[in-house]
Amino acid sequence: MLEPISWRAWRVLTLLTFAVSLAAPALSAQPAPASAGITVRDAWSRATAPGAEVAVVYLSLENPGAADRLLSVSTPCAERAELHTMAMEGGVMRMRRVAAGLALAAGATLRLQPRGPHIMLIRPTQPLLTGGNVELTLHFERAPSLTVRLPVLPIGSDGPPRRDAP
Amino acid sequence: MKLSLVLTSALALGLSAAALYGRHVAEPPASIGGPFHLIEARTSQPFDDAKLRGAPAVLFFGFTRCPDVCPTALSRASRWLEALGSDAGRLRFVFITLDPERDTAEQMARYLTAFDSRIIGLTGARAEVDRVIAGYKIVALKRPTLADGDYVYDHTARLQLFDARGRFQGTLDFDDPQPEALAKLRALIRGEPISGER
Repeated sequence: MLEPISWRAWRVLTLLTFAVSLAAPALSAQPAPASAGITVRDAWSRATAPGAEVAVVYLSLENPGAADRLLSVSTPCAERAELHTMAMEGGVMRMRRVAAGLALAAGATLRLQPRGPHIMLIRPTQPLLTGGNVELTLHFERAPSLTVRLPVLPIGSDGPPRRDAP
Repeated sequence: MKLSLVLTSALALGLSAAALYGRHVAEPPASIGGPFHLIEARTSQPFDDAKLRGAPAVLFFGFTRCPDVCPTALSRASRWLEALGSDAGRLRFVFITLDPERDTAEQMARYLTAFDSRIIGLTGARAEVDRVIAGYKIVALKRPTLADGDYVYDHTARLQLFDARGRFQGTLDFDDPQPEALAKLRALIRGEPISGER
């Protein structure tokens, strides 16, 4: 029989891993220049049906600077906000909450859009009505938080008219 | 030695591909569907599979806590019904919840007021919804989102089309351009084969 790793060794190992995980961000933190400025574009939400306990927010994050991460979202307009990925695979919609946030590659734009990643608002404090607004604050790993106010579009909407549309 | 291994693998691959393909093609469309006893949300009256016969039906499966796909599909459906004009009355459009624990008849009825009033909402006992999921070959996977027990469903987002005799005719994607969706629905209403179906 193989001797299983002893409980004591296991605990030491776990503690060590934990300590390293705590120290790692501090060790890896570069003297990061103040963020070149993440820009929020095309932010919008969709009106909710009566009784709907969730709402959705889409937006684009332009990140001209170094890689960052959208860690979380807070809002006074709902009980809480979650970051979700979503994909359509063979006619099946698959959705996951992403606890670790969404990566923002350096010099790239992250697009949250219908049938894709989104911010889900859980139990909006009031129904979202077309023409109304939602306020939320985006929290990043490196860049300072950004507060945005965005419009509520009609329930069947696929977003504001695209700026690059002909 | 190497060559024979390659040949054998190729043969095995070919055979399994043929078997898969054969199964796909041979699958009788009638294998989608089946009996159920649910509750109509607005009236709280029983609604069973027999009520789907006598007119062509479009079935969509989802839940009211769905952030994107369900409200979008239901609002597209509302637009289609409006565009069909008087023909829409010859079609039954049914939204069946996959989450009857949270989607009570009252909750669904309230939710559906945002959409075309001809859309029929169905909920019911968990066991009956599970019977629908199995019979209609729907993917419905409960996924926890938080430790507090909150969850979402991964689910089939295509709409299923049935003729007036309850026979499966094909599917419709709510992201299909409206002209294509309307062409399929009009064919369904006329009892014609649905184009673009394999």
